[in-house]
Amino acid sequence: MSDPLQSSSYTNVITSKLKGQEDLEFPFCDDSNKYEKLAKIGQGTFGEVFKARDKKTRQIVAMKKVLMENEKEGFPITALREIKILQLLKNENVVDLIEICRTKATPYNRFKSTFYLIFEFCEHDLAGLLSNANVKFSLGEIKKVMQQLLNGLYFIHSNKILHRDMKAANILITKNGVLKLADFGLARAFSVPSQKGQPNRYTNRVVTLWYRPPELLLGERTYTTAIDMWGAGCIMAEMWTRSPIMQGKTEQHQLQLISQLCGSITPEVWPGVDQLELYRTLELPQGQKRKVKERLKAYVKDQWALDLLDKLLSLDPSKRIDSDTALNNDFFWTDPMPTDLYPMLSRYNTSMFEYLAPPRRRGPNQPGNPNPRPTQNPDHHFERVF
Amino acid sequence: MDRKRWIFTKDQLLNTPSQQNGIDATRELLYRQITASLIQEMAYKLELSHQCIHTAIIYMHRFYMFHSFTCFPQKQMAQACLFLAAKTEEECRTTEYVIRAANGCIHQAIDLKSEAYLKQANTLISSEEILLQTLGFEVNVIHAHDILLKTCHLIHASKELFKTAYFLATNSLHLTTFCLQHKPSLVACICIHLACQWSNWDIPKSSEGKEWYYYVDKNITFEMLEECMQEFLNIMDKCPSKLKKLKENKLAGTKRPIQDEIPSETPPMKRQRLEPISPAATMAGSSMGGKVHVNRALPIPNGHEQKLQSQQQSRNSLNVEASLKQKRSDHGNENVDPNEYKYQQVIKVPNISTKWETVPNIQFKKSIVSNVNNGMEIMENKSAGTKRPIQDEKYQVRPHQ
Repeated sequence: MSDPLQSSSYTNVITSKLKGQEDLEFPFCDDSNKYEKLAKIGQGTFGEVFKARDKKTRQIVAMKKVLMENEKEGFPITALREIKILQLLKNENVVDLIEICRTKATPYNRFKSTFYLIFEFCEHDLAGLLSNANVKFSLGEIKKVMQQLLNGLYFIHSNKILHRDMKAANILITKNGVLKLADFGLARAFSVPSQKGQPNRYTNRVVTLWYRPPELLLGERTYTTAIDMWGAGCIMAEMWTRSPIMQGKTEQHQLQLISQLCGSITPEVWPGVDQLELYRTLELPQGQKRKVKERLKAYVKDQWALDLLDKLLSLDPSKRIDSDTALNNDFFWTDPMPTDLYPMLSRYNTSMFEYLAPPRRRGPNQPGNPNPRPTQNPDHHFERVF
Repeated sequence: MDRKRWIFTKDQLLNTPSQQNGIDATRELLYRQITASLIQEMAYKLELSHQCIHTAIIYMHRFYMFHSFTCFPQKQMAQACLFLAAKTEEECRTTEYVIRAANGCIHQAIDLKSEAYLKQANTLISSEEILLQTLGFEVNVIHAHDILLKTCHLIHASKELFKTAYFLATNSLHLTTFCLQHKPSLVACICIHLACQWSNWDIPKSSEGKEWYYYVDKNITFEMLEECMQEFLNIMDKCPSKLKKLKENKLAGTKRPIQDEIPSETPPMKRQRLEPISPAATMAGSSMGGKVHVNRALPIPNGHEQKLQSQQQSRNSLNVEASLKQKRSDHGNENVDPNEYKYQQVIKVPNISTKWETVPNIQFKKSIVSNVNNGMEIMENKSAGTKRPIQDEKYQVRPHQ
């Protein structure tokens, strides 16, 4: 039998046609040269990020380059997911994807265009704000941050999207004090039921280690929106401690830190945990008491805040509070009420917060490579941050 | 994103790039139908879902509003559309697998370093890029099928009505350019409307005195449905002969004989695992033998039940039940060899349409719906939260229309 590929004379026809693609016009996909790059401001999960300006409208935007990491498989599915999700999610507390731009395919780039996601520009990220000791959040302002964060999560979760990469660096805040969830590079829809009625199995290699919930660390692959809520809890505590509360070096170490704060992971507090893949394999500290409130008391004076933190940092994902219930927590409905961030943020000059030095400081992207965020606190290398 | 972007006027449809390049409108439609068939054929080899096929076909229709068949051959774009749709529908298939399917050697190992493979892979990836740019990266599509499912819930349609309408929706993608002319909500209504005509179902007005399609989209009128239905029937009428002609002329642009490929239209009732509609709807379906299902939780306008009863009687006296059964098995689906059937399905429709043109005035009602209002819940997202002073409408992102 002859090779079916060789026998097809079809190929020659189509490749010769492709050469004409230089003059193709795409009315819905503008050339990226309509923007002028101003500075590199970071490194996303799938490419570089630039601050740029629309030459015509003068609007400032963020341009995220799509990294063609596996050229053989065409346009990366991770980028497609982010685009697909962000096109659906239009909300005040989710970063706004303006458009997707391209460079022209020419013989000079071997007919390979580069693509950019164009986002609205946000001046700050929460990690940047928290690592600057001059920036002080009042209780009302912390409430406002958390309320907006939970509101964003409520919105994406009710649209059946998991963020899967909650961390302070992915929480953007505009100069007007509006919080935006960003970086949906790892996000995906969780609605799609599989055809044979089996539960969906997702990869558990998601979420930056320090913000990774215990179920993921134990190998759960049928996780729920609760994974984002754990991250929200870590970020909430960070509003007071000013640095990530559990900076594990390895997955094992991260579980240790979690046990020290939230108590031992046992089937008593978390029915069914013994069924998880890694429960037997990993060494879990025994006899630890739950000390969430006790240990955070030194930083967090507000009772309602401690109560909410305790509910967000629940070991058992099925008992962890969801975004809707969290928003109804008395924390947000007692004095001092959430207060606008704008007055506080406007006290600082933009230059102070704009991502000046590339690359932007971020938490670790890879497990096992923690690369801790530099903080003002000289004790930041301590295993226990608080 | 601008939803209107992908709705075109008749004038625009008569001035596409293909037509500017000398392909007439009829021929262009035929090419679109061929490409849709190629997509479907390849998708079966790749074991992709119906949802994925539908998405790929919509990409294809949209693509050829901006590019010509003379520059982008059907087979090339069929591959690219399916390759992309598989990614966006979370059913990703590798380049290698797609190319194997395209070459009809899905189970055969191929030399990944051969020049022929590299050329094809390169073409596939370039075409995907061109497709994405043409679509403006707008990869989310709303399918008439999804709205149809919701609407069938809403009107408590029988399983049979749903299946028929669903099949028509699939055909509308394969055979017509409805998805370029009308909003998916209208396409869904056209399919339900045609399915009703086809099998003599009648959906009564709601307790508010409104037609069922008002609850899907307020702008839909009876005239619109009639007009579009007629257009649909005309296209289906022409189709089989067109396909036959094609068979004779072997006009396909590929060297492979096209005969086996074109009529690969398979009824969704055979292949697709259909979602059960709702207990109420299933009940309605099973009560087809004459009883009328009434949802008791809902108010029924006075005299409605009486009317139904009298209709039932007239139905029995006319002995239409038997003719109905006959009719159903005409275009019916059970006990038919799928291979033999695939061609028939397309041809059957116009025949039946003439049937109900020649046998008018026997208006009987089958499995009747009760109250349409009830279904409104399905169309609106549930709101949540009590204390929060935020409008819940904000949370509704997935547009239904």
